[in-house]
Amino acid sequence: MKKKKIIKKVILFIIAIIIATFFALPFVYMVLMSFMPDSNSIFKWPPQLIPDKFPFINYKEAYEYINMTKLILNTLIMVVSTMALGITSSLFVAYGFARFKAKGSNVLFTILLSTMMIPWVVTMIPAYVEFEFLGWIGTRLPLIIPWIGGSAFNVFMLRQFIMMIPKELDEAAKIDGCSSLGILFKILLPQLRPVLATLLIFFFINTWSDYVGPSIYLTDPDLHTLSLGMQRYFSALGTANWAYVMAGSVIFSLPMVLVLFFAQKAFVRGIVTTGLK
Amino acid sequence: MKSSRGDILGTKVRKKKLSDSRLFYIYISPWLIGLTCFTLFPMVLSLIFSFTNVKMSSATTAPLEFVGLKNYIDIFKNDQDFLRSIFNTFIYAFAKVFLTVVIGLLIALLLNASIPGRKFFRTMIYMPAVIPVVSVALLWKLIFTGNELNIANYVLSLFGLGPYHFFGNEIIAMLTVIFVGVWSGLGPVMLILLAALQGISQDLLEAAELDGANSFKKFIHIILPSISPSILFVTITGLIGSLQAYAEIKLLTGGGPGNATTTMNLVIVNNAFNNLGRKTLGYASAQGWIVFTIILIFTIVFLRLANKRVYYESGGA
Repeated sequence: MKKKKIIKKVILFIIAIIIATFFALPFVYMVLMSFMPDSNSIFKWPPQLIPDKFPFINYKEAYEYINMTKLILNTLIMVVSTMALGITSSLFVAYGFARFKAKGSNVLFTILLSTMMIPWVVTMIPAYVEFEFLGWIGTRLPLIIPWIGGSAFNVFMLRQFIMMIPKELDEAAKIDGCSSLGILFKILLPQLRPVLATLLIFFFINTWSDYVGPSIYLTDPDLHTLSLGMQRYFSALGTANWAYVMAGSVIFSLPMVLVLFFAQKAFVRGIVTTGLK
Repeated sequence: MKSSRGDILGTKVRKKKLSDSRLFYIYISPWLIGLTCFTLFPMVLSLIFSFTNVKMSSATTAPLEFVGLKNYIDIFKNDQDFLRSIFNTFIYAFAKVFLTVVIGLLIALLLNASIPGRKFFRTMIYMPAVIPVVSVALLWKLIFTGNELNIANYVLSLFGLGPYHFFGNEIIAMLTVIFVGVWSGLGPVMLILLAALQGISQDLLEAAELDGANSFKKFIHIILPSISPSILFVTITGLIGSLQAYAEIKLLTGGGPGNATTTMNLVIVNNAFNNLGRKTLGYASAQGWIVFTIILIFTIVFLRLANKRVYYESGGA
């Protein structure tokens, strides 16, 4: 009986290795190909999987050709500005929904949740016209200012977590003369640190990788983010050097992979609470 | 507001606290502003646009010219491209969601068994989900590239298959984008289902074992009902997301070959921003509302279905 269990475990373990390999292998292939000398050595039959050498020069040249310093800076500007505005707004809105009752607050919360379902193509066209009217086309503003409303997902998460903090803490602080703003920052905020970390990570990953928004609004090459820069580098060269394309992709993806590995706890918490609530 | 905190008849009155309902509206005001300016206003405008022939070049200057239901009638009567894209989107969305949920559940069951290195496996399987969509597309383009000497054909040749021209054949191109969609979309689904599995009460499973239930019976009668809310969640959010598929397909195949992998959103963005002059913004807005209606119908149907079938432990959603 015991032996049978061990054999079963070994089989499951081997299956898990095969599946994990399938998911990770394409990324490994990306890294390996980034060290190839040129496209011709990638399209060989049979293919050569391990490069002869691991020249760092590929990365250096890809980085310079694609002008990545600028792209990274532009991407970080987007990440930081949307994150600051989006999370701050979400925090205030979530606090409002979690702690204060008013006529219509439930209806408003339902509206908030249902906005998550609105397809982006519906608002995309008139929003573009609106931004053109405001003179924002050609700037970063159309991708930053709308975050003033926070994001429905972030508000929802923060509200859930604020509601888990006992209200007695608020009451006690109130008696001590603490204002509602003081309660938010002195009592609630310290306890919200874990969920805020999770939301920051999601924000970082989404904005860093975003393609659709920038492709519509950041048409000026001076504002290009990594997504647009990589795509442009690839399509501008008819016979792109695939090794450089892969080297650029590795630079582009690596921060995300590192975040996943080092912030796993916050990450899993985020995904799991969305699914369970 | 001034009078409540101010100083009446020269005597300092203790600052009166604002009422709950005032505070509520003060705190949610950023959202109300955002909702009004960047969601509701555009939505109303979009609805109005969809009954006009407004053009990008004159959208902010010329007065609107109403054409009634013409845009909607044109779409259903003459727009073969868009009708084809609705068909494509359905195929893509249903295949992708079905496969991610089924495979995600199988992997979650596997990782729920006590094997060593579970966390590591979990991270590896999740990894594709954090790679930026542009990198994902470039990577798989290299793997499947038009050139038949690609690595995918080499792997297939080891099994005696191929070579294929992956982005040249309509059916294979669709299978390819579904494949990549499953690869990059499986992580979150698997993680949510895994968490649901870990939440199943051990007592229930042990009781079933004592009653002599085998693994299959346990799965059907206990595990599946217990995680059905999570399955419903990943299915609905998955469908809402993949019915709006844009970036992953635009970057991988560009909608080709022909319009074999063109999705609804690909057509709409093209009509709005790229096909200058050929289609009006009004026309593209009408198409946007068709997407909205489709997604709304699916969500309602699934939630209805759920109320009948899904088992909630506490008796309510």
